[in-house]
Amino acid sequence: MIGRRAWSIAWARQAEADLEARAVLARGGSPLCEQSHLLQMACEKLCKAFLCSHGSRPEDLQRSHAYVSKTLPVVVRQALFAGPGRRARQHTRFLKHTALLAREIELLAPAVRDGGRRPDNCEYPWADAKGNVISPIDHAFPGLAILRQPLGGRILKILTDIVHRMTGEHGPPTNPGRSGRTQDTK
Amino acid sequence: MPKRSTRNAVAKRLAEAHYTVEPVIAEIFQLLAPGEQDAQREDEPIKLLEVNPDTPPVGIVPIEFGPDFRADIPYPSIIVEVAPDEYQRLKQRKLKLPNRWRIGRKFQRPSPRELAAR
Repeated sequence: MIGRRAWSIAWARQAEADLEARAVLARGGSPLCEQSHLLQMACEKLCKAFLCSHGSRPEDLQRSHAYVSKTLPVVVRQALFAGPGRRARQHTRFLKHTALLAREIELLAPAVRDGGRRPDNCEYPWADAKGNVISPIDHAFPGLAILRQPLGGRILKILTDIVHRMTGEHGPPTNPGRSGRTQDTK
Repeated sequence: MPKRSTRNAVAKRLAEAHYTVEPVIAEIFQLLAPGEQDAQREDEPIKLLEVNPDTPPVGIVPIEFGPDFRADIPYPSIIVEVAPDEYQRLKQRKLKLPNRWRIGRKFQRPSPRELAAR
């Protein structure tokens, strides 16, 4: 029987590859929808790597894209966690933005539509409320604007660090606390 | 050799840190496995149920983390975030926790005085 750790590492390695591909596209000035697609897939796989490590059945995880908004903020918080006190409080604003961004990333998947309120996505054309057909390549993705700010850069750096630790240590990431590598990313 | 923190102490410290870093969290409870009494079973991960109005109500999603001895967190932990409505449904038994877990004690939010002293 294949162990949950093997599944977790496999998901994390795919997340790592997606993040690296996104960085290559970003450096080359590729359309935002293509970069966003890879970011969405990377975040989804990172979250599934965590959920596999707890024993979620891989076949169940493959059916849904809606894991990012609930899982990613907790994963990032644990990576940042620096114990009680002032240092922990410094992350409050960052985590608030992470939660907002996680929801926007989840909505990038065409299957996640927020009850029809958010047909915009990074893969397929959609019709807006006025009947205009929009292609992702023409969309500005305002919900992802934070990624172009320093705070967004930090979030990407932390996500990259988390997948590196998952693939490097071959297991679920630890709660790094004060001495975690992610502390260097502030 | 430094003394290892007790499981109860680590659970409390984790909960207080989460309250601190995410003030929006309404309540944090310990989750207990069958036979687990007040976090005394050494072989069981620390499990926290966090009621967070910012989390989407998409069901029970346990997220596991390994121990980190450098940070004096020598136990694995599992975080389950739920929206307030999901917490109400858990209390009404309309929503179920996995693995026959049950809701245990509530962790108190650290007071401003406690935070200032740190």
